[in-house]
Parts: sequence; C-alpha cells; structure tokens
Amino acid sequence: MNDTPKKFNNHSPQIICMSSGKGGVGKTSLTVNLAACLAQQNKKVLVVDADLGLANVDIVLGLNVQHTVRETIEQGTPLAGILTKSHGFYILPASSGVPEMANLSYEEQAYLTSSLEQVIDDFDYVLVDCAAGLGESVLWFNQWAHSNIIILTPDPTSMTDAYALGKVLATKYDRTSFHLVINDVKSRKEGQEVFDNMALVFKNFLQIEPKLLGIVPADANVAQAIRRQQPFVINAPECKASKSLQEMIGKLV
Amino acid sequence: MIPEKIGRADLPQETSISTSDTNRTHSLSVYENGKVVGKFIYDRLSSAVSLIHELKVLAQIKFTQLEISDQSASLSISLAGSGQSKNSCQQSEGIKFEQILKQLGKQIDISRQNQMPCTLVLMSASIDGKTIANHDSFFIDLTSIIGSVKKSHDLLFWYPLDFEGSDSQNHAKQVYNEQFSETGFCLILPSSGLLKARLLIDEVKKSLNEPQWSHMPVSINAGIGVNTTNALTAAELFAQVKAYLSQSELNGGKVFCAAESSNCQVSVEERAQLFMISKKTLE
Repeated sequence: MNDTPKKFNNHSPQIICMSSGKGGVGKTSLTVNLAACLAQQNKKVLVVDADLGLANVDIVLGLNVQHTVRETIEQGTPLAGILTKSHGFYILPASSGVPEMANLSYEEQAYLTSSLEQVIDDFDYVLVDCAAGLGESVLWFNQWAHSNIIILTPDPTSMTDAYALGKVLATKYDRTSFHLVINDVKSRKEGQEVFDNMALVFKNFLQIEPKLLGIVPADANVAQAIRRQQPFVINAPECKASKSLQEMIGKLV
Repeated sequence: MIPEKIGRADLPQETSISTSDTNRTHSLSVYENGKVVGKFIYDRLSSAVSLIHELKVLAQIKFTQLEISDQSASLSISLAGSGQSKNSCQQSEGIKFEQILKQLGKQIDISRQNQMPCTLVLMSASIDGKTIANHDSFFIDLTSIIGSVKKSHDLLFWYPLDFEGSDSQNHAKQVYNEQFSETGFCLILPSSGLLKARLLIDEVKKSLNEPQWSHMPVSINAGIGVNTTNALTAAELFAQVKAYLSQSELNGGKVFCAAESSNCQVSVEERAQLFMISKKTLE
C-alpha cells in the first residue's frame, strides 16, 4: 500500500503541533510562515493540515489541490503521492466541507498517524496545523507530536481556551512542556504581560512552567499577505511580524 | 534481579540457577548436571522475561515457578513444569490476586491524591478461538511483549480470567481453594488515561504483526476502565473492566471501555486569574 519515499537521512523529524483552543487566532498563518522560514534555512519541512474537514493551509498558500488526506483514510492512497510542494516546503492537504473527516474514529486516527510515520523520516520538521477546539483529532495530534505550541491572542476568550487546552493535555496526556506564542499584540509589553499571566496560572494550578516562544505584533502586512494567499515572510520579509518569526526560528532550530 | 523466591527445591534436580548483580546489570547462569548451559546478561525486566523464555528453549529446562521483581513492578511467571504441588501453586496465586486488588486500590488512591486518572487494562489472548493459559509458551512470549511496551511505573500481573473479583477477602480465599489457570493479563497504569491504554494495546498488537508471529492467528482481547478522581473502588473497577473484556472476547477482540469522564474543566479561580490581565490591559 505504501510507497516509502527515498530516505535522505536516517533520523526522526521534530514533530511540532500548533494548536490554540480558540479559532481565528492565527494558527494556520503562523504555521505556514514558520515553515517558510525553516525552508529558507534549507530545512526540509512538512506541514500537515490537521483541520481535516475544513482545510485552510492550501487556501492561505493559494494552492489548488487535487488530492487530500481523505483519499488516504478512505481509499488507502499512499500519503507520499498526496504531498504538495509550495514556497519551499511540503504540505499534506486536508479536505474542505467533509464532516466525517472532522470526526475520525480512533482506528482511523491511528491509521493516519501510522501512515504519516512512513513518510516523515524524509523531513527535518513536521508542523501540524491543528483544528480549533478540543476535539479528538486535536488531542490526538498533540499527543502524537514531540512539542506542543499553543497560540493565543490577548483577548480573554483566547486566553481561557488556550489554558483549557493546556489543562486537558497536561491532565489527560501527561504533557508538561508547552511553548506559547502570543499573537496579534499591540506592543511587546502587552505580549509579555499576557505571557507572564498565563505562565502564572499554569504554574499555580497545574505546576507547569510554559516557555515563551515568541510575541508577534499586530501587522497590516499579515492580513495583506493572507489576502494575496502568500506567506507574509515572503510577501513582506522586513515587516515586524516577519522579524518576530525569524526570532522564533532561532529558538526552534 | 532474580529473587530468592526461586528455591532449588522448585527446580528439577539436575538444574540450578545462580545470579549476580553488577552495576545495575543482572546475570543469570543456568547449570544442568553441574555444567553451565547458558549465561545471560540483562538490565530490564522485559529482557529478563525474554531471556528466561530463550533459556527454556535453548536448554530444554522446565522451571516450575519463577518470579522476577524490580523496583517498580513485579511480574510472576509460571512456566510449564513438574515437581510442584498444585496446592502450593494455587495458594501463591490466591495471595497474588489479593495483592493485585490491593495494588490497584493503592494506585487509585495515589492517583486520586494527584488528581490524575488510574487505568486498569485486562487482556487475554486466543489462538484459533481458544484462550491460551500460563502453561503455554506463547503466553510467556506475550508477557515479554507487554513488558517491553509498558512504562516502568506500570504494573503487570497474571490473573485467572475465571475469577470474578470481590470486595470480600473471605470470598477471595474461598474461591482460591478451587483450581484456576492464569489466563489473563492485568495491567495497572497509574496516572494514565484511556488513550495511553489504547496506545499500549496497539503496540502489543503491532508487535504480534511481526514476521515471527505471522503463522499464528492470535486474537488479543482487551477491556479498559479508567478511575477518575472520585469514582470506583478497586473491586468495582475490576468487575467493570472484566465485563468489558468479556465483551471484547465475544466481539473479535474489539477493545471495550467506558467513555472517559472529564475533570479538566477550567475552575472559577483559574478564570478569575486569567481575566485579571485582560482587565489590566484595558485600563
């Protein structure tokens, strides 16, 4: 069933799960831009669109995909044949408007991650762009990954949902290490205050000390790049948001 | 570490075992008729189990009872053999089973204090529809596989599938006057939830897909029960999971479990602290 791709290196990639709890905080945008930054540093990157029923990664990149992960789940199509390349990195596209894909059974999820494990050895980094919420697939991908990045904005709903996600991962899946990204902030000071408060809540109630991966400022170039369906690190490499991502890459690599 | 519980009287006369501990590795030497027929070095419980089995095959030695323990788990293995009376064997199994329930109760209490779940997995294996028991060599192999995929703090026991489990100590002792074969695996996973248990079972099944087992039509049956912070006693949990295991056996090995209840709700206190920063930034 599976065509194992030619192996470049005999190593396991770093699997990083990007989630948030609340939707619309910038997960997909940050994921594809981090992937583009890593690719610019000659890293081999795979982005997995884990919002399996409402795909977004292909949209923010302006891709017109013919095959999606749905074919792997339903027909056993090898994942290697579904991967698409764009802006220097590979994408595993999800499907749009398919509710069944958003509600995979345990066996289907296990099959998907098992299929992924057969293709990811070719990559240095696998970035998993999770769906919003606390659904089974979100929790599944988070427990599968090596690292968990939780993205939030300074509004109370985003902070609460991010905390709730971290609490579930810590309580049910023994995840005790998180990186937080504070997105869309008015100033660095605001971002730092949000992180400090989140860290205090995590520490007081869960005995966990999350790490700050980055603070991304509100930037008109981001919205413009999304409308143009391009990563903002390519569309506007000198903008504030791009520079903050470059700082994040320095911590990741 | 081979404990002192192996008595020479338990072994056929012509065999003996000596052990030594050196720098956290353990060695096992087997003698037959005064000559060394095998010497093995191991550093993990699961390795020891595998090695014992290999020993059995290599040297055609049949142990009557062997128990291996390490700091975090105990694993009892009864291998096919002769020379040990059934009564003494049953008495030790009965004591072990009470210990299983005690251990389960203890782990539930510890998990409760840490506000973590405690999960119980009961498993059985059948080949061609027939449940295998502890005298079957494959049972030992399966023990070794389970030992290699579980975490060091997870506890693994054998237990007789026919045992119903009860809160009453008197009932437990009475039941153990009868004869039971140990045909089930009992896994206690402290501070672990449903998903971890399912992943562990998947790992076991994956190991059995390897070429060396491909000729055997093995079916693994499993039931999982999760005790959250204020739910079941050890005996209640055991009875619940035993029922799931029975359903699994009747349904071609499909894993049965209860839906996991959530104790992750964000509390009023947590929300209050989260919102403090929002109010500050609005000022």
